[in-house]
Parts: sequence; C-alpha cells; structure tokens
Amino acid sequence: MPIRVALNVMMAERNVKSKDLAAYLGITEANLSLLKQGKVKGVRFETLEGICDYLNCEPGDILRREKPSKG
Amino acid sequence: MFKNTGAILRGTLEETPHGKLALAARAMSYISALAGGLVALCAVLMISIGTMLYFAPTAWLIDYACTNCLSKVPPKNIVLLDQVLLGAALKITEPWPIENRLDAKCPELQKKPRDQNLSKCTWTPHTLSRDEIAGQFKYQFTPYNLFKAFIPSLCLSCPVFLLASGLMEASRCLNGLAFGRYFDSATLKHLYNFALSGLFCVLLPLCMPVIYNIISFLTNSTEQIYWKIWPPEGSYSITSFNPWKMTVPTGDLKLFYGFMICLYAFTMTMVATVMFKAAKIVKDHAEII
Repeated sequence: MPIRVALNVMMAERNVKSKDLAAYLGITEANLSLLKQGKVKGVRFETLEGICDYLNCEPGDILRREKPSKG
Repeated sequence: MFKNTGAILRGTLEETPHGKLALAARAMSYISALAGGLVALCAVLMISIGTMLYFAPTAWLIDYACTNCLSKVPPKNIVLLDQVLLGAALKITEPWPIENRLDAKCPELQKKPRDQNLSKCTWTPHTLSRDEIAGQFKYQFTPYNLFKAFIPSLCLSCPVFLLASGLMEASRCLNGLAFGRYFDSATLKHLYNFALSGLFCVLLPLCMPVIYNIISFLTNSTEQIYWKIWPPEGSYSITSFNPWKMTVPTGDLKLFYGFMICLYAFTMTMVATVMFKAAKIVKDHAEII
C-alpha cells in the first residue's frame, strides 16, 4: 500500500493512549486500532483534523507515501 | 415556475449516476409505470364491463335468443363446445329439450363437474317461451342488483389494482435507484410497498373462494351467470359468463398473468441487483473512519 499510516509512531512519541484519542475523536478504540494498522479504506477530514489537533501535528506527519521499490 | 423546473432538472441530471445499471433502472422505471397504468385501466374496464354485463341479458339479448336462435335451431341436442374464455359455450342444436338437468342427459357434460360454469343451467321438457327465459334470467335494474353486480367485479379487480399499484411503486423505487438515492427512506418505502403489493396480488386470488362464499351468503345469491349471444359461423350458441371464475386464470389470461409475473420477477431482480451494489458501497463507506 503506497500510503502508510504513521499514527502509531506519532502516538508513541507523544505518549498518547488509544483510549484518550478515541474518546477525543468520538470513534471506538477498535476503529482507531484499524486506523493505526492501516486496515481502512479512508479517513474522514474531520477525523484527520481531530488527530492533528490532539497530537499537535500536520496531516503529512500521520500519512506518509511509501515509494514502491524498484525491481 | 419554469426557472425552478429547469434548476430541478439540471440538478437531477447532474446527480444522475451514469452507468449501465442506472440506465437499465431508468428504463425499467418507465416500463413499470407504463405497465402499471395499463393494468389500472384494465381494472377499471373490468369493473365497468363486469357490472354492465350483469344487466345485459335483460332486454334485447333474450329477445335475440328467442327470435333468432331457439326458433331456428334443428331439434337434435345441445352440445357443449370447448370452454371459452371466462365461461363455457353451448351450441344449441335443439331448443332446451332435455328433462331435468343438462348433465343428466348430455354425455359431454358428465365429463365436467356440474357446477363448473354451468350450475344455473336448468332444463325443461318443452321449449321455453320468451317470457319463461326472460323470467329465468331477468335482472331488474335496482340499486340492490347494481350493488350485487358491482361487488364481484370490484373483488375481482382488487388483485389487478394491487398489481397496478405495485408496478407504480416499483417505477418510483427504480427511479430513485437510477438517481443514486439507494438508501433514501422514500426509495425504501416504495420498495416495501412494491413487495407488499406483489405479495397480496398473489395471495388475494387464493382467498377469493372464501370471499365469494361470504358475499354470496350476505347477498343471498348462489351464483351469478351472465348470458350473452355468441353466434359463430352458421350456428348459434349461448355463452355463460361467470365473473367469479376469473379468479382462476384460463386461456389468454394465463399468458397475461405469465407476462405480469415475468415483469415482476425481472423488476425484482433489477432492484435486488441495484441494492446489492448499494450494499457494497455501504460496506466501503463503513471502512472509512
């Protein structure tokens, strides 16, 4: 998958618990877990904005594009 | 008003999903609407003609039978012709000759149950006079008789009205689906109404014998048979017409019912396909957090 969700790293750096972030975003912990694993088809702008607000970061810090390896 | 209509049309066209399925749904919507309209028209005609036929034998038909048929036919026998649409045809080769009931003497009729289309045929040893025939089948044009004539026609038209209503609902539902309003409450309501109409349209004819018995009991009438003159080439016959027998489709009606069932099945398949696709879209949406 070319787009990788780096939410795990950002949360670990800021020592944020999944439970708190899920409560702030208004989503379930199960869905947040799926989002962290990149097992979702998309993220709403609203959710992305909430994550950026809580973690004090930019969308680019959470979503990163992996360049496909040649060969 | 025209400005608003234009804006609505533009909006509608913009939101119309372009695809083969949407196109097919729109086509089916138009076909269903057309079929629904035609079926509703048929139901209205059924009520009108059924009610009018009740009184048809009272005047000139009996006169016509007495003057043209019964006096001219050779004295031989009465032969049951093949069952015609909604009734049975009797070819008269002898004017009302057999004693007692027809099925006691006529071997052709013994093959059939007595009350199948011909339960009101009573026979006398002599040729019936015009007055006797008129007295036997005379229906006075009274409000009570009008009610008695209207009720069976109305009852028989109920499934047809349901079919028409169901097709109209299907048309609205398919129209909603064609515009991409998959889970709109109105679309789902139309789909629900469509399914319900189809169900009752199938179930109601099955309940018709019970309804018939209840109405017969209430109106104190055993069976209503309509008589009309049916002159085929070179001979005379009388056709008895019992509207209650229409509950069981025969002859050409079978073809009509078959066509309608095919239309229903095709429409349901179309709706199911679109809903299946919609369900996949919903599943995809559920994975967006």
